[in-house]
Amino acid sequence: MNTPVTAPAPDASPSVLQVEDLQKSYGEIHAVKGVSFEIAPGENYGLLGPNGAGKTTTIQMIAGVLAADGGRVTVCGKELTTTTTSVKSHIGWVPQEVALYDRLSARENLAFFGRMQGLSGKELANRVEEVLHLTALADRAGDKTIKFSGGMRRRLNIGIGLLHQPDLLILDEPTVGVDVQSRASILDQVAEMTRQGMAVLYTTHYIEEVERLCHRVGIIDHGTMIAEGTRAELVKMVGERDQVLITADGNLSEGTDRISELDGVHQAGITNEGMELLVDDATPLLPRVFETLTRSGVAASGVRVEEPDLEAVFLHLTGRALRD
Amino acid sequence: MRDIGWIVLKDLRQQVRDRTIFIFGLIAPLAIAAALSLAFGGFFQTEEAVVFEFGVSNADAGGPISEAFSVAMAELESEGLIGITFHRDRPSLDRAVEEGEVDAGFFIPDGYSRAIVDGSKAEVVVVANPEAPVIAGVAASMAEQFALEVASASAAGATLAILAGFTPEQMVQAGLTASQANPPARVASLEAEVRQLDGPTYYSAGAAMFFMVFVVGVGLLSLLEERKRHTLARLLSSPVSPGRILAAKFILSITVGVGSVALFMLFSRFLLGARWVEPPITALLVVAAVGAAAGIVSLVAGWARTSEQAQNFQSVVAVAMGILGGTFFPISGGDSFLATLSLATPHAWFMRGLGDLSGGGGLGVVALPLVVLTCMAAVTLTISVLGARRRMRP
Ligand SMILES: Nc1ncnc2c1ncn2[C@@H]1O[C@H](COP(=O)(O)OP(=O)(O)OP(=O)(O)O)[C@@H](O)[C@H]1O
Ligand SMILES: [Mg+2]
Repeated sequence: MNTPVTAPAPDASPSVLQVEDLQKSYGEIHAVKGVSFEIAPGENYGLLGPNGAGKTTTIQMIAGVLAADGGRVTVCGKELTTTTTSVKSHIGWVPQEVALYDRLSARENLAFFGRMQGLSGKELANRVEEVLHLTALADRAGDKTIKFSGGMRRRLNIGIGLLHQPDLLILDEPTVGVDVQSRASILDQVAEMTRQGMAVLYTTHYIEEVERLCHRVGIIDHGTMIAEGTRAELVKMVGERDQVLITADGNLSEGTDRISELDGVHQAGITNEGMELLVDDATPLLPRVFETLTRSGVAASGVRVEEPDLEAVFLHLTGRALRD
Repeated sequence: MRDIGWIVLKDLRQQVRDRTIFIFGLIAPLAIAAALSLAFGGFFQTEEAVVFEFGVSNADAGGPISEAFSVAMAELESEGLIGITFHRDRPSLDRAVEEGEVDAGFFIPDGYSRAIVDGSKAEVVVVANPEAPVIAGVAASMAEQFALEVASASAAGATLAILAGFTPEQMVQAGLTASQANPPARVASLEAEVRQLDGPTYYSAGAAMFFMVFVVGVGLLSLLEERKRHTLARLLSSPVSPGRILAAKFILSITVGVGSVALFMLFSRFLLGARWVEPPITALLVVAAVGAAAGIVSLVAGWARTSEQAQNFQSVVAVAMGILGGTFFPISGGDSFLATLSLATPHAWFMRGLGDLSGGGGLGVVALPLVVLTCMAAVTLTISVLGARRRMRP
């Protein structure tokens, strides 16, 4: 899984997407505070961050759906705003929420959005069929989407973004609620498209997906890009440390507080399963960790020591686990 | 422009599949118009009339006045009001009445026209079947009415005017008044309120307007719905400008509104006997009234936060304007404050326009209602489009 993905030649063509100092506030909430990054043709860029980090807000501004308060988005050399319609055809955006018409069939949904992208006639018909096959929905193409399962709706949701073969594909957590098989096939297809030269902007909660797919990763937290680079570059930031994943129950917040005071413990954060630690050397430290946990009223039921991954990077940078 | 069309088409398809639009656009108004017509108007008046089968025998062939009688009867028949058969002579007419072939007969004696013009006494003979006294009465009063027309006309010495001033409706009206007295009199009192609209037409027009308002907010509603379901965001990410998406939604409202009124007019014509005159001008009135209603509904529903709330606002507006606009009970002649208030509704102007038009006269006679409706539409639509622009985000 951790085989590094090879990035396209850095000096290839100019970037497909250029984001400079994007800003967005919702009233009091400063959701995006000056985010900048670039994506080259054929590059898959992962945007990683916890709930509410500002990923979707950033992406909606890039897709020209949401007006930015400040900053600049350039797609294929042309500046994009909510009203620059011609530039939008370079982008295929797959929204985080499933956006389909319930009373129309899968084919009708595809045909309609295809028309909105300027496709027509034979070309439209061909693309609709291709996408139906790509998303494995060909045999249900005539059914109204209200009858589809959650996973089928997700697949169609992605398919619509691919219809017009955009230069930049933006996927906002596309695999949420999709079964393992479909998820694997979606990831394969995205990988295939980047090989064919499509630039991809990918957000997800799943670290494995980012590690498998993305050439470069931007880590975003509280509306700010806190780190950016290839997986190797990011992991190097953590240094020669061990990542300890503990399955546990009980008073986790007191447990992490006390553990982070121990010598040799760099960071400690609460996760869905229990807690995650970043330590200098796990082997001599573990007995003291478990002793501390017991005293804090935490019942641990399992432990794993791993090489640092992107999750460790996030913990290292923020002191919080990515999935808390 | 084509993208706007595709959006409208997509929305229409969804609406058709939803079916509520048919309930409000067609079934409900048909039911209400039929019920009101039955309760207050001369409903099925025409169908009752067609029950009368008359025989005519003219021994005064070639006489101008007897010809006028025959022509008038034939005209009544062509309108489906009565059935007519012509008979060779008096004996064959008598036989037809006796054998029940016809309900009653008219015999015009030889020299009838000459006698009238000369001023001597002459009468159309009514051949009645004693077993059908009501029909005999109708026939007698028709003959009487004709005689009166003839008498007043000939008294003025203008025989030709008889031909011009004599309308089939007057005859049947008179006949029905004599026999049944009630329904036509009620129709007449309504007609006094909204100029010449007859019962079925009045209630059909009212019901069409009333229910049209329940569907005319569909554009704004579907915009709110698309926002809720995130498809609006998807549309905004495609190379279609927000203005066009908005335009499509308002075109949808007008299309559905006009469509529902048009479909209802068609059905009410055949099922309820409503009479829609001068189609192109009526169409102008419909479009202007729908535009005004769409504007008003969108203006009010524009305050809603959700599509459900907007739906409720739309219903409130529909009921309020329906009552105020006099779609069911004429308000214009009543209390003057209400009458003034009713002028704020497109309904009142639409009904007035149809009434003015029913007497004929073309575009000129409906200029005022048409201009008022168009202005209402322009102002309210502009404001609601401007207001809806803030909805054009994810
Ligand atoms: N329409 C909105 N109105 C008000 N606040 C919003 C709106 N959309 C997002 N926010 C706020 O902006 C911040 C960023 O939200 P955003 O959806 O961009 O996060 P995210 O990184 O996509 O999160 P998730 O992983 O849960 O999808 C959050 O604090 C959120 O509450
Ligand atoms: Mg999001």
